[in-house]
Amino acid sequence: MRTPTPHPAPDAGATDALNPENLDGHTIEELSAYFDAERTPTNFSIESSPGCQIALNALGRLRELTERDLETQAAAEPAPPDGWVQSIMDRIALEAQAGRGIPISHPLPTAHLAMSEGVVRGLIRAAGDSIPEIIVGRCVLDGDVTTAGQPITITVDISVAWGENLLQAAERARNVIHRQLLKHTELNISAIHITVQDVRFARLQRAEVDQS
Amino acid sequence: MTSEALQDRLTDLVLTNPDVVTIYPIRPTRIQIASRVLSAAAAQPGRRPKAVLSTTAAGTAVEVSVGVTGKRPAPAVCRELHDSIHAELTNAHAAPPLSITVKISSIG
Repeated sequence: MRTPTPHPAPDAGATDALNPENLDGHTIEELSAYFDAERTPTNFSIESSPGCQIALNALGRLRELTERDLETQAAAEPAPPDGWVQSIMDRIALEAQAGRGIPISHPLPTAHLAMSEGVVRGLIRAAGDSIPEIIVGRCVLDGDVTTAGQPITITVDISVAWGENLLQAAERARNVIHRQLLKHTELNISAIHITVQDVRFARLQRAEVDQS
Repeated sequence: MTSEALQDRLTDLVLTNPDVVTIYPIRPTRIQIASRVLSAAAAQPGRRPKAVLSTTAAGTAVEVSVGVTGKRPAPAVCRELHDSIHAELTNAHAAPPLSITVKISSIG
C-alpha cells in the first residue's frame, strides 16, 4: 500500500470527463439527472450506450454509498466538500469510455474477440465498491493491454471509511479486484497497486443512523 | 436466405444466449464528434440494434457488441458467441467467414 494522502490532488485528466464525447455524446450531469429521474422517460440513446450503462451502474453505487455516509455525517459533522463527489463522478465519466480493445483469445484466425478497457475499469470499480467501507476513486490500467500476454499494472485509488484498518481494507480491495480480473479477463496482471486516497467518516448501519 | 434474414437470425442467436443482456449499436469509436447524432439514429424506439453482417465475394464479416450478465466469465461467453455465429454461418451456407468480431462492451 502506498502512503495515504489526505486529499486527492487535482487530476488534469478528470477534466476530460466534462467532454460529452467521452460518453457517446452525454455528460455525467445528464446521466446523473437521468438516474435521479429513475431512468424515465426512457432515453434510448443513453440506454444503448455501453459507456453510459457502465457510468450509470457506477453512479448508482456511488449514490447509495454517499447517501449513507452523508446521513452519518449529518448527525455530527459538516458535510464533505461538494467537490469530493463531483470528482468521483468525473472519474466515472472518464473511465466509462470504451478506451482500448483488450483481446480475448480464440484459435481461429478469423475470430476477433475483445473487451473494452471501459468494461475492465467498470469491473474494477464495481469490485472495489462492493466492499462496504470502500469507494473507488480512480483506476488506471498501465501497459499494452491491446497485446495478449503483456504485463499490466493496475492502479486503484480508494476512499476508506474512518476507523477501518487501512491495510486490511486495501488488501480486501486488492483481493476482490484480482478475483474479478481473473474471472473476466485474460490480462497478465503483474501488480495491483492500491492507494488509500481519502478517509471518510464511518458508515453506520441504518439502525444506528436512525437512533442518532 | 437473404442477408437481412441471416442478420436477424444471428441477432436472435446472440440474444438467446442466457449470458447476453443486450446488443449495442456498432459505432465508430474514434469519430465521436457526431456521436450524439449517430447514437440517436441508431437507438430509436422499436429499432433494435443488430449483429452487423456484410457479405462480399471474398466472404462474410459479422460484428456484434454485447453486454453480458457477468455470471459466467466474459471470455468464455465471448468465445461461445463466436462459435455459435460461426456455426450458423456454416449452416446457412453463407460465404465463408472472413471475420467474426465479438466485443464485450458491458458486464453486469
